[in-house]
This record gives sequence, structure tokens and C-alpha cells, in this order.
Amino acid sequence: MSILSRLNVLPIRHKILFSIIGTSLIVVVISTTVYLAIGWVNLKNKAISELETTANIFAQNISAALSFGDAAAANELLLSLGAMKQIDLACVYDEANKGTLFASYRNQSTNRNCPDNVAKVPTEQSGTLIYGEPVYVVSDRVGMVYLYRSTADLKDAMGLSVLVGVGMVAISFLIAFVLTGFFRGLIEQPIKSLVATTRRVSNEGDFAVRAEKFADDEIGTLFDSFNSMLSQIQTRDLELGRAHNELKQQVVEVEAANDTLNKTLIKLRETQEQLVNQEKMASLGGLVAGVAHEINTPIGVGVTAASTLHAATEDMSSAYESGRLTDTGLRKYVQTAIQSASILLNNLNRAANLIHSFKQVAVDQTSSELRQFDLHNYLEEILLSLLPKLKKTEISVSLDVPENLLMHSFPGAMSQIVTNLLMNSLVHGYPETKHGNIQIDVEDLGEEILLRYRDDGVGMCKESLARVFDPFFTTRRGEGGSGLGMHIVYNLVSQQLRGRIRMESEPGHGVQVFIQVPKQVSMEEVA
Amino acid sequence: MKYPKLSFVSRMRLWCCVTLAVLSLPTQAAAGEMALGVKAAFLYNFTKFIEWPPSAAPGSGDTFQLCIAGSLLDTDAISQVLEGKTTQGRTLKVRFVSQRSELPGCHMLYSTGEKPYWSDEWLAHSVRLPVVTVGEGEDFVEKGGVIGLVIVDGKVRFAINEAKASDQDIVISSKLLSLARRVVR
Repeated sequence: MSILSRLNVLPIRHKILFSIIGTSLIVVVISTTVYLAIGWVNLKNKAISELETTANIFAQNISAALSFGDAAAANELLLSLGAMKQIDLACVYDEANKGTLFASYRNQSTNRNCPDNVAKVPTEQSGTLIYGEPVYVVSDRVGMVYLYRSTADLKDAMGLSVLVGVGMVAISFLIAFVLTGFFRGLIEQPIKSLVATTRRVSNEGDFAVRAEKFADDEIGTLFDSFNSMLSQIQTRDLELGRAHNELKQQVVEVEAANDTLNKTLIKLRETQEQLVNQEKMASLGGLVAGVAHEINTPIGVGVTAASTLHAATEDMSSAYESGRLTDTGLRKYVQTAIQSASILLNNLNRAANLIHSFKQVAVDQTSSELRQFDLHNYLEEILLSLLPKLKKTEISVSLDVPENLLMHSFPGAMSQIVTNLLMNSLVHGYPETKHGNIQIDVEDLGEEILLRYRDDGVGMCKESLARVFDPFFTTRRGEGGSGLGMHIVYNLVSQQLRGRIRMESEPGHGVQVFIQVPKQVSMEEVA
Repeated sequence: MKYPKLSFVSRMRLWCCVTLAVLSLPTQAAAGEMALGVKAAFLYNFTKFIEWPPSAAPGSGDTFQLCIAGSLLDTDAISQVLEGKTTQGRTLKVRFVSQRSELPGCHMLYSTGEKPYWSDEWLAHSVRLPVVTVGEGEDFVEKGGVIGLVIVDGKVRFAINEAKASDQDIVISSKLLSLARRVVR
């Protein structure tokens, strides 16, 4: 593991060097070793077979001498072994004489002697091959011939082979070294240039750079892949830049659009405000029309009474001038005058009352004055101002408000709220029948009051109920509905009166509105 | 143990004589008989290095006929050593012969040369017969014998007349020839 990790940090040229030299050395060493081993075995086998042949020949040749006990002849025969320098010893043992030594031969170069008995002949001896051959005369075994052959010459021959092997290893090492230099150029050069190109790309960020290909091998393929990767990156880079620019453009456009939208929104808000104001004015206009109509009657009655008094007075005056004024006539005139004056007074009082009420409501509606008022009386005044509208219908409105309920708040807002609720009921709650009951209850909760408004009209569906406070939501567009009434109610309750409003309704079961507002609203809170 | 070469060889020779003596005469015979015993061993050994033609000693069956033209005493002595031994797949038979007509039934004829058992006429009769004649003295081969035994330095050696042997259709192994003191070709 450590050897591997140590190899990993080596430069490529050393890896190549090691792999080529290592491989060739291993191959050469293995093959040389095998070659030497085979050579050694062959040499030894050849020597053994030679030894066998020699022993065989001598066993045959010496058989007669052995059987005739002619040791001199045997020794003489053995002397011919002098021609074979590698034979150290030759020992002939006489079987008939208990295996004692019969004849022997000794090379001058050795200082060994034959053992004196066949039983003492070693089977193995280092540096020596020992071969024994039985001596037969026809089929009778008469003795043994042992040949001792030195392996020194074999070792010398092997020494030469080993020298050759070492030479081969050295030569292959040299060749591997030279080859490494060549392959290093082939492999290391392209990789170095690739590394240089990569550095250039990463340092300068220039994806237009291309690596120069050296060959069509795997490294060449690597170069191609690298180049195609570079071109892909370049393309992507360009696309990215383009996309970036487009995005910038889009951001600018979006900002412009946002600006326009903001302006439009501001305009819209202004328009909405105008519309709300217009609606307020419109309700004021309706109020004025109602007032005019309401006042018309007492004024007309007053005019009639005044003209009747005027005519009666003229008749009485001319009668008095002519002296025809009778007692009865005077009494009749006085009666008429008293009656007329009474009618006149009553009707003028009534007109004055009306105007007073209307004036208060109208002033409140157009101003956002914070003042103290009695809710009971104020609600009655509001209803009075709406009487002209209610008169045309068979709808009765009943009030149930505790007396002397003082509030310090915005009566104009309260008036507008009740007016709008009533007008909505009249317009939407009773579209056909025009008769029903509207109930307004007020409950004193201490700090706050709860105003409960109820009608028994047609009610509303769920969808309409959900959007009832939305600006411009109306089911009667084109029939005079602006869609702002309930929105104004909502705004007045939640903003000016600092309260909460909730509406309940079901189709066919009328509408209930719960308004909970504080009795005291301070100027700071409103601001 | 180191000996000078000459002394080693002579020692060997001495040893060999003892070896042969023991081999030939396990019964510890007298000195005169010992020499005969040695010669008997030689005769036996000769048979192993000589090839006879198939026509030799007809009617001998699976026996090897060693005929002795000598005294009965000598014949007995030789018979004691060799009788019953086998050579060339045959059982050795030692036989006393006195008539020339008995010669064709012999593989080998031995004589100590003692009269009246031996006369050179045996040789004349053996001229065309595949009988190996073994006699005493080197001049035996000159007279027409095949192997002549001689005593040299107290040791038995022999001379061979190879020309006579081949005349008689007898083949003598070169190993035997190489041991001979003299070979007549």
C-alpha cells in the first residue's frame, strides 16, 4: 500500500521508466533463470547419461577380469578412463568376495580414494555424480562398477551461461533505458503539453485555446476529448453570456413595467378615491333631493294657509272700509286667522325641524368631524332623513337603541354606514316585493357598542358574501350600482371608527351585519 | 589411507589370489589341489566367454560336457568344484574321458598333460570338432590347443589360439582375449 502510494506521486517519466525496465528485467530474469535451470538440468542429464554409458561399457569390459580375478588387467582397463578428465574415481567391487574393492582408478586431480567396500559407497556427494553399474558375466552378477564424476566442468559451463544471462539482463536494461527515453517523449510530451494547455485555460480563462494533438492513440483521443470539452465550455460560456445579457435586458424591461404598474396603481388609487368621494357626493345628492321633497309639503301647506289668511284678511278689510263688517263676519275672520296661523306655525316648525336634521346629517356626512353625540337621537335623525326613500316602500324600520348612549366618535361615518346599509337593503334585499322589516339594535358593551343590523330580504349567496366588501363588487352594474357602498362601509368601520365588521347571510334568509366599534375614538388614533 | 601406487596394486593382486582361492576351494584343500581348484575355476569362467556352435556335443541335452583327460583323482577334484554349476543355461557335467571317440560329445577338454591320460593325438582329433581344448603351458596353443594355462608370478594366466578356435567354429569373447597373455591369430 505504501509502495503503491509512493509510486503514485512519481512523475510519469519515472513510472514509464519503472514499468518498462521493471517488466523487461522481470521477463529477462525469469527467462534467463528458466533457461539456466533447463541448461543445468540438460547438462546434468547429459553427464549422467554419459556416465551411465561409460559405466555400462566398463562393467562389460571388466567382467572377464573380475571373473578371472585379474586385478592387474582390471586396473589397466580402468586406466583408459584417464581420457575422461571429469571422472575422478572408478571403483570395482568383487561381489564374490563380499563386495571388497577389486580394482580402482584415481584421477591425479583428486585426492579421494575408493571406499574399501561396496557398502561404504555413498549414494550422493555434493559436487560429484556417483553412478553404479552391476557387472554381469552372462546372467551372473559378479560385481559393481562405481564411477565418480566431478561436476566442476558442468559448473564452469554453467558459469559461462550465468555470465551470458547477466549480460542479457544488463543489455535488456540498457535497451529498456533507451526505449524509455523514446516512449517518454511519446507519452510525456503530449501530457506535458496538455497540462500546459490546461493551466493556460484555467489561468487566463481563455476557452478558445486548443491542445495540439501528437498522435492517434489514447492520448490523442484524450486531446480530442479535451478540445471538444473546451469547445463545449466555450459554446456554453457564450450562451451563458448571451443569457446573462438577455436577463439584464429583461430586468430592465421588468423594472420599466414595474414603474408603469406603480404609476397605474397610483392612478387607480386616485381614481378609487375620486370614485369614493363621488359616491359620497352622490349620496349627499340623494339626501338633498329627499330633503327638498320633504320640506316641500309643510312649505306648501304653509303657503296655502298663508294665502287663505291673506284672502280672509283682504275680505275683512274691504268689509270694514265699506262699513259692512258685521260682528259675525269679524268673529269668522279671527277664527280663520287663528287657524291659518296655527297651520302656518306648525308647518314652518316642521320644515325647520327637517332642515335642522338634514343639515346635521349632511354636514356630518361631508365632514369628518370628531365630536360627542347621542347615538339614539342621531340614529333617529338619520332615519328621518331617509324617510322620503322609505315612504315609497312598505318597508318598516325599527330602532332599538338605549337612550342617552353618548359616543365620542365620527357621527358622519356612522350616518354614512347606516345610510349605505339601508340603501343596500332597499335596492338589493327587496328587489320585487318592496315590503319587509329592517331591525337595528344597539347593545352597550361598556367600552364598545355592538350595532346589529338585520333585514328579512332575499339574502346573498356564499360567493357574493365572500366578496361583499371588495371595491367595485356589485351584482347590479349598469343599474346604478357602483360597487363601492359596502367597501366604504368596511373602510369607515375599520379605519375611521377603529372597529370590526362581520356579515352573515343565506339566500332567502336576509342579511345580518355586526358592527363593533369603540365608544371613544381619540384624535391621535385616527391620525 | 594412502598407499604408493605400486604397493597398492600388488596388494590388490595378493588379495585377488586369496579371493579366488576362497571361491574355488571352500573346503580348505591342500596346496597342490588348490592349484587345480584355481584351474577348475578358470575352466568354469572360460565357458562364460566362449560361444559354441549348435552342433557342439550332440546328444548332451541341457548339460555342459566338461571332459577331463587326466587321472580320476584330478577329475574328482575338478568335479568337486564344478559339478552341478550352470553355465550358458546348461548344467555342468564333469566327465573322465580316455577314448578319442568320446571327444565329439565334449564341449571342453582339459588335461593336465599327465601321461598316459594325455597325448597330443587328442589335438589331432579335435581339429574339426567344436571342442575347446585347454592344456598346460604356453606351447600348448602352438601345438594346436585353444587355451594354454601358464603360471606367472604364482598366478594362473592363459594364452589363446584364436585362429584354431575359429577353425573349430568356436567364438571366443574379446573380453577373454583381452585378458590373455598371448593370442595367436
